[in-house]
Amino acid sequence: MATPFTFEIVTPDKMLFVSDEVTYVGFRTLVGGMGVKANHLPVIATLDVAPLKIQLADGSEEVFAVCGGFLEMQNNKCTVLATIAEPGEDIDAARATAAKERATARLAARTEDLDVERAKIALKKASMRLRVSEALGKK
Amino acid sequence: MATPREINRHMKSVGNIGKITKAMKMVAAARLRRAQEKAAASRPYAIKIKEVLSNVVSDPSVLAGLDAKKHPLLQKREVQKVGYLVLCSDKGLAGAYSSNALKMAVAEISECEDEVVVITCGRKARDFFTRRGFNVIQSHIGFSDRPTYENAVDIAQDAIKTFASEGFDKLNIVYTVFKTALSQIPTSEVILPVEPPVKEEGKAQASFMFEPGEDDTLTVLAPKYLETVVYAALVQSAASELGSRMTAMSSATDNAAKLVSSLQLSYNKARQAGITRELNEIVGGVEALKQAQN
Repeated sequence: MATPFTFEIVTPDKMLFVSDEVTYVGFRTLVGGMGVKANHLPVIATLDVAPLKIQLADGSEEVFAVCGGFLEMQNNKCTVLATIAEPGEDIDAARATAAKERATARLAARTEDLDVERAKIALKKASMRLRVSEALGKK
Repeated sequence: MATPREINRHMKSVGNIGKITKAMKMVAAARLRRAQEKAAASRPYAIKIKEVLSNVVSDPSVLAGLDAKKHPLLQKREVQKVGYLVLCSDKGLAGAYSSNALKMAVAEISECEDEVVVITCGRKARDFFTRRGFNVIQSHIGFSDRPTYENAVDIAQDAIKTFASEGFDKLNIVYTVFKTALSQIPTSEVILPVEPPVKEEGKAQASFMFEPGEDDTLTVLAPKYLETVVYAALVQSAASELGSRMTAMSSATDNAAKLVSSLQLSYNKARQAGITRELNEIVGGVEALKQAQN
């Protein structure tokens, strides 16, 4: 069985998640997918807007929606710093769908005062949330 | 001397003011507790992000080899224009909270020999600086006593934009550190350009692997760090405001109670004086009648 290690997700408002029983963390950095297991060498990764998956020692899995941030792994302690992060179960699929449509419409309309970067990020966040909630729905 | 009726009316109005200040005190106390909890909850993130930043720059070669264009936030320029970000309350009735922060800011500004621009946060600060003819370039209002992280992001992003377009070459933040409900300390710090925290000596240095490289990590990390610093200042200021309001309202309630009791005394005196006078008149009248009969 894989060795468990400490994993926590910290947001500016609270400790979102803490557990000593995590065996694997899978995430996506700005340059590609990555995963860490126990005894990984120290790493600091910059996260993309993407789902973050963890496996617990009892074999269960959990998914979080993480909108950018950092992951630090050191001495078998893994910390995710994210300004926005939420557990997969908390995602409001209807709201995410609405947000996705809104962002798509904004990007399609291309009005002059459109903040393209911002709309793109909004679209990315919404589609990522949807992906997370769909992945949960299938289970 | 005022008539008993006038005193009674005064007493009632003071009593009502006392009720209002008491309610405000209780509201402030409840929200202060929440603000303190929020300050405590935001601490792990702030500490951790500082740690990550110090890990990134722990290798001196990283800082030396930085590309100025890629990391404008870390670049020290010759200072010609200084920005002041002043955090203050939206509402009054918080004792000397606002005026202390503003006094601190004005003292700092008057010592500064360069051109000064001001970013205000809170209605009181905006009014104060515009009325005195300062160059207020941005003002944020509406969240002084309940800031969210998004507010901090807005302020930080605006500041970053202005810094990049050389609206100022250095940014100081003036905010109030919350010690206890009775003591809040106005403080001033430089937040731009970002001064990476230096790692404490003696701590074991782990050499990190960066994914992507140090350079790109820093590009994302520097603005995030600034947001965190601003957020911490906002949270501290909010707690200070509520603490200050609670103390001010508590002493206002005490004063109102004292005033009511002294008014009660003068009311009793005035009423007694009236009774005595009437008695005198009756007795005097009776005496006069007796003499007339004789």
